Amino acid sequence: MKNTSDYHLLPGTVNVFLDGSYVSKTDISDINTGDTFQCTLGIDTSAKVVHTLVSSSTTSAASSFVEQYKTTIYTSTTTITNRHTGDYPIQIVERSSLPVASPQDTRIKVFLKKPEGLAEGEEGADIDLGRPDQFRIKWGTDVDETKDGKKSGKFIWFGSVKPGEEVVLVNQWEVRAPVDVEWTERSSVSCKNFRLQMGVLTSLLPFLSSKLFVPTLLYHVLVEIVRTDSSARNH
Amino acid sequence: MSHTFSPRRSSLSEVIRRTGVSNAQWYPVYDLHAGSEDGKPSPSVSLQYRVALSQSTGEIWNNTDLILSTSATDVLNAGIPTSQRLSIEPVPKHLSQGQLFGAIGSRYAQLGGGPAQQNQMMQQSLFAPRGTVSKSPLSVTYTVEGKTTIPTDGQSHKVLVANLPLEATVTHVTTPRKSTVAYLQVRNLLYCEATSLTALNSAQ
Repeated sequence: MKNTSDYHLLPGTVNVFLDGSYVSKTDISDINTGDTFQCTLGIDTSAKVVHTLVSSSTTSAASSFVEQYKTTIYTSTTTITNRHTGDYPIQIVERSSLPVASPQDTRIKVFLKKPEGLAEGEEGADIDLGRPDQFRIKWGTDVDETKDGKKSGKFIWFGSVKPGEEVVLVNQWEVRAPVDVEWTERSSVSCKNFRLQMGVLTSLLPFLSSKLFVPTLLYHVLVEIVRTDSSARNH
Repeated sequence: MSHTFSPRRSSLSEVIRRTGVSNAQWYPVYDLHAGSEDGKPSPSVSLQYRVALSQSTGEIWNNTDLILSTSATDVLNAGIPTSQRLSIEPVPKHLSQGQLFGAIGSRYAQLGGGPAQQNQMMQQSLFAPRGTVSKSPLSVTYTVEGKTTIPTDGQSHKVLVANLPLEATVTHVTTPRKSTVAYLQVRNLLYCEATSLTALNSAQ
């Protein structure tokens, strides 16, 4: 085989095989020499992931002088267990999202509680939390160099789990709003056309579970707190 | 006997003039092979670069030298484009201020400022691309080493052009709020200068 070109890879479909077995398909665009690209090799069933999301709400005492607030604390806990044996520490990235407060109603506020130290972190910089398992966090995603990790609430946990060990990653945030303001969490994809549809479907959104939007796996997902029933309740 | 032809899934009638080959087409297909040792994925990955090639020229290509070209014959045949007249037109009011897109409008308003900018951005997103990137068409040529035999049956035949070794890192990725599984991802597949190409040539 004589290379008569720069050996530019043309756009096309890549069939991915692991140990001779077909696992997935991906598309590549133009790839120049020196470029990098990524493929999914399937699911590692020996890396166990358990996720829980719990919430609890409190309402401040009614008073004639201070507006009454309802505060809801969400705790997201991910436990990752490396069930491999032998010398197989797994390098793992958790793609996390914190909801961001909607600019449509500034009375709804979102406060980041955990991981502590994330709020002060610089965009795109590794933040060492001093954890014994050495897991670290970073605003943004592992996919590409984004500059809007903070704005979109996206950050990653990353580190290594030794065989037979587990790590527990906890994210916690608080949503605080006057008691008469209703809100809901909604997920959206950062895809212009899709957002267009979401805009049209606003009245349906409370009935759509986030599970319906499975295709969002293909996109970057951001989670957003939006107010529902915006006009009827106020004034 | 030597054949040069361009990738088109559609008809290749234009190619007659340039290369003498009509009714022949090819497009790239890639097989990425990763292996594992003791259940642990290996960072050595190979990318088999194949082309799916079909011809129905009526002539069997027997032990033929193949040169695969991506020259853009359609661009040449269309001639040199003339410049076009462009104008800026107002947009009908019901489209620029419609209630239907109120949710988006207010989002842009938050990002970008007042109503004027909001309308402008909506128009952009509704009627025009937000940005375009154009570049000169790619023109590369691959020479398939050795002789290849392709019957004139119009069916796709895969020809291995190159077997490219790649270095990769294997990472686990999980997005637990969407799916509580750990995906294995080969990333940073650094596509190096193809200096150690394995010469393989077969029609399958």
